[in-house]
Amino acid sequence: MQALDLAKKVIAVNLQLELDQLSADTEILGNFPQFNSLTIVGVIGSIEDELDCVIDDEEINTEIFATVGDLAAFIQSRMR
Amino acid sequence: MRVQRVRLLHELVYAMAQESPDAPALLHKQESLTFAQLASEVQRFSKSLCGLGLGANERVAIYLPKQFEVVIGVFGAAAAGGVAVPINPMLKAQQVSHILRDCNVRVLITSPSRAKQLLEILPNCHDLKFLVLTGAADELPQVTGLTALSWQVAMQAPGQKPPGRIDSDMAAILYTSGSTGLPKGVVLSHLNMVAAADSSSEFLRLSASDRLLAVLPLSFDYGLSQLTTAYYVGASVVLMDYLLPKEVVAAVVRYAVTGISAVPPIWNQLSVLDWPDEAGKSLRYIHHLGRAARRSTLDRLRSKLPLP
Repeated sequence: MQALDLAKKVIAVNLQLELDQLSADTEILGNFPQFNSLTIVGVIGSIEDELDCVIDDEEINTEIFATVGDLAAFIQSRMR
Repeated sequence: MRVQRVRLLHELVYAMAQESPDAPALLHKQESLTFAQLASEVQRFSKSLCGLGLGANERVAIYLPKQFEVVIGVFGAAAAGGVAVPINPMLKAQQVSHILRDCNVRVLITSPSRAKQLLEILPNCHDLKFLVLTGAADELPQVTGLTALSWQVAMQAPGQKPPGRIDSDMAAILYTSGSTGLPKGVVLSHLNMVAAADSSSEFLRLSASDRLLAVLPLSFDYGLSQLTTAYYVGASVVLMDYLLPKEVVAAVVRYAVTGISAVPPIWNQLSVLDWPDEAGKSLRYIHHLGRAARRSTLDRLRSKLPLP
């Protein structure tokens, strides 16, 4: 799966949204009221499951949740 | 110490714009506003609201994450003779609907994307006439009886002079969290808010050189008080939506924050972090509020925080 598709998938699942509501430009942080610190835990867990990796707390900051595209870039960096 | 006697909520900003126009008032990410700039935006927005036909005591709700428009919206609503209703940006459509209906909100300030997420509930908000959007208004589907316009268009409108206010007039309605049922609106007068700012700035011994990190939601009483308390003495405020505790520590260093007010769950999280010595260069006090602090949290904070 491409990084952008995976980013859309984990956001759609964890925020209970439809895939067609999301594009690379869609803002996450500050845009969806249901996005909170618990959702971050959920999203990171989903990425870990999908990529079979472990993401350290140190790697997580709010900048990777600015937009779906930013999250895709983070996922891309973990795919290498 | 205040030179002028402030009696109205928006005068907190106007008075500082007179006293120290070039002092920083508000910071968010890479941007900042001086008191003169903030006062000018507040004044312009208040005239725009009156130009839209906002009547005295009518409600203006703000449903946004922390950004300049929330602060301009709150003070601008009060300056327009209206009543500011800051809505917690974490509330979902049905909860927002309750507030918009319960206190007869006339104007709602939000983002185009958030407005879209509210499309189902907007037609049932009987008193709502205007949406002021932080982005373009043309992508939003038409809702009967509702006019949507962008912040920019609203700000460029010729506007009208706001009506006069006295300190017993309504300034804001803040909603409780609703843990025991539907959220209830608490009505605050201009005097209530200015008196709280006076008291709070006194017990925190704030001065114009202080810089507060506003981590509490502005929809919460002490959250809004972070702004009024700072502006009572001409201190500056850094806006931050609390999400990851480590970003609080980073913000203290980045913005040279001197004080933080927060509730027990936040301090519990902050107390287990490593606080670098750098944070101690600026940090002067921490303020624990809401309910009693956990002993273990206080002990940890005392040993870890680089306070003077």
